[in-house]
Amino acid sequence: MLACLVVVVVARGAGAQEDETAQARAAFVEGTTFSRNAQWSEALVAFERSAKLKPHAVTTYNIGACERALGRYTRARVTLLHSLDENRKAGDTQLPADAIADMRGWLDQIERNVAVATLTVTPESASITVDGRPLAKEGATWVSGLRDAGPGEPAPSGQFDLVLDPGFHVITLSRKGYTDVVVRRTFAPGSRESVPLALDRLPATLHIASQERDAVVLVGGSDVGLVPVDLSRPPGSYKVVVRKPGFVAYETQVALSPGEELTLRATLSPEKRSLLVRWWFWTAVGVVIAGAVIGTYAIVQSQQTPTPIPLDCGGLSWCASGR
Amino acid sequence: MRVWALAAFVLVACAPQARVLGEALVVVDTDLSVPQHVNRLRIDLYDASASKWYASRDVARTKPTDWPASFAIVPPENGSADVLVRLRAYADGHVRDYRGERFRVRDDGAFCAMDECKADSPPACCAIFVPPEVEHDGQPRLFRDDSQDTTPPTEPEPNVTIDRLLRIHVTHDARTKTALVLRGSCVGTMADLRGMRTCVDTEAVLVPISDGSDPSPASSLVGSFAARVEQRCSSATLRASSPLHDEEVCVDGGVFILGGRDGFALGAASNWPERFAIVSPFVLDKYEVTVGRWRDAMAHGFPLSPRVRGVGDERCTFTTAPGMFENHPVNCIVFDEAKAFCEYQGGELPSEVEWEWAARAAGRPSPTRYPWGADEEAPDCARGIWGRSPLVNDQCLGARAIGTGSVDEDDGDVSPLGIVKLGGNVGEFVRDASASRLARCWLAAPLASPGCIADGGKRLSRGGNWGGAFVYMAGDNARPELLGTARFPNVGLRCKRSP
Repeated sequence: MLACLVVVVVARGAGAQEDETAQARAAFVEGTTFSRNAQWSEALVAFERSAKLKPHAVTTYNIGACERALGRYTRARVTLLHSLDENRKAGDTQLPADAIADMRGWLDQIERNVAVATLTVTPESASITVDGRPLAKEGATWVSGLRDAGPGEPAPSGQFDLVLDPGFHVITLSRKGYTDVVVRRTFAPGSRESVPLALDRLPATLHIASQERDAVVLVGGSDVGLVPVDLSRPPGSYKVVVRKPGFVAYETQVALSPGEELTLRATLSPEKRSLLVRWWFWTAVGVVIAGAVIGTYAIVQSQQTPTPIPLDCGGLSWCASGR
Repeated sequence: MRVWALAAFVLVACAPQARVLGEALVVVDTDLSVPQHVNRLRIDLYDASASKWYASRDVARTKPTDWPASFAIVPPENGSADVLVRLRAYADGHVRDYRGERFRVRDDGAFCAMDECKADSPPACCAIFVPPEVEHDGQPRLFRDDSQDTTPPTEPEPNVTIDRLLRIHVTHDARTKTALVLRGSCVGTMADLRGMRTCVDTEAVLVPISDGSDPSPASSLVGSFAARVEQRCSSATLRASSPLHDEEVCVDGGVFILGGRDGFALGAASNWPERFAIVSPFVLDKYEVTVGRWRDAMAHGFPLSPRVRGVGDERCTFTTAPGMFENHPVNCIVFDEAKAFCEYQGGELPSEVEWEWAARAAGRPSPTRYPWGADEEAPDCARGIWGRSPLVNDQCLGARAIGTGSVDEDDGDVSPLGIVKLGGNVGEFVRDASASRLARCWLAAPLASPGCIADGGKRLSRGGNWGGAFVYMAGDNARPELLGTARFPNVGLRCKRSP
């Protein structure tokens, strides 16, 4: 059971200073009352109010104790170390020895409980937040949960260690020209994990149209529908084919940049049809040789191969073979 | 002239005859809505015994005018063939890994007749029992030219796919046409490739495959399934605005895909796999049930009380005397109390499907993740009541107090139909027992009003709450399991009734 120190700070001074001290004392006592009932968030608010009016290592110690009780280990560590620092600057007179001993024990415990994530960030210049807050640097260590909510800041390097409280966190990586990466993960107490974070480049938008209706569009070999189509694709190179029966297929290669919007207009040209399949040609031939060469014409007819009726293949222009 | 006439006669009599190339045209229509429910067609061809899979195409059909779609099968040279055709209509992105044919039958009414759950087992048993994963052997595989394995890595997710098998006979000297309709009533009923059975027009019913056409209407049936099953609210009398915040909203019925894979919850709390659901119209409370409304019911004889604030939990909103939380949602109630309250008020708790329909789909052309109609949202403390817990998520603490907010707090957490706080404030009990979407009751549930309605067992709340992260407010997200006898400061209720 945590026990907050109930050391009443006595201040000297007159008038407004005494008033402030009284208010600080009242807030301190309020905080200790909440602490006894394990109402740690209320206690924290009261101790912070007291510290603002009258800073003291004991008050800071109690704030750290509340933060530890609330599971905010990264904050608690910073606060407890600050309490030791305050005490040292005051000539080691403000904190009792047993409180210092307790604190050292808590700091060891916190070290065992916090999680460490090795983040690998690609690209390195991307901005990063954890739970909507930018990272803080404590000495040589990067820590989450210490700063107020705000926009992300560039990651310190391509790979670095980040200290987090155990529990659920949302890590967001962003950079202009790329889609955000949001990783939601629960970190166990004392865990050591790797978290790769790689941004995907913003997709490009491709709009494909044609002057011919019902033309089929293939992008990268996949059927994506009939014109007009609007697609989103990762940046890169793609082969685009637009085809329709009776027309010469339109083929092109496009190179898409991140966030680019590109419109392709596929102009389809009719296929040239052989004269030999035109009905009026054979009618004209028959008329010319009729009468004088009817017999020869009949022999020629019997030796000709009949013209096949073209296959339908349906709207998908697919004739699959039966087996 | 006679010569010309004779020549013309001979010409006509001896003119070359066109040669018929055999072809079987297959014309495929659907009655589901395009593109909301289906926008792709997968075609797989097998030999007559289904032992050899030799062709596959997956085409986008994203506009209503793209239907019916058609393709043809041609016979071997001067021969004939019987071909097994599998047609699957589905929506883009709703696929799963292909690991071989994993046929799973839709259960009939005796869905609890298993070793673990007997026919007379209580329904809660079916909420627990998850049938084992269907065995798969990776077969069949698709080989091009009998040598190159070109098996597609994915297949349409069966729960949200119309799956139809048919046999086509094609011969070298005849042209035929087979027209069929992939019907919404068959969505989620897998075709049985090895057993040669398929659903034609009746949910969960498999019949032997045939080679005949369906009766073909004059025009495409796209969209007619939803038009047939969707019902509007009747002219029900709704409770008007009052200080008790008990006014109501009528929610039209409809068809939608329940669930989603963007949520981060796992196991029983996951909202995956998806499935189709037909929802009947219903009347829903506009607001979460307030402390004032519950107190008013008690004043009129309702015998149950929530846990009182300060006795064991400082986050409970109910107080012995009227106070500052009268407009806050009531919380710290057990499931049976919530159920009894709604029944006392002439209604009941909404089912999970009704809740998700109201939160994600009702009143909008296609489902959205968040109740106010957005798909993607950056966390914003001005939107919804969330992040107000120092223990769980404190992103929105500061100017805001810890705990619940007033049910009419102006924060944009309003659905297109005007239903308030489906996103945050408190999670809301639903009638369903907590059950994985892979549990027997969900797998066997019909298209119309599916669910795992059962008393007893673990309970379920839906929606985000004042202490949770922003993303919990997404309507397709976690489905936290709750002990039925526990009281939670972040769980409340709203009631529904039939129109």
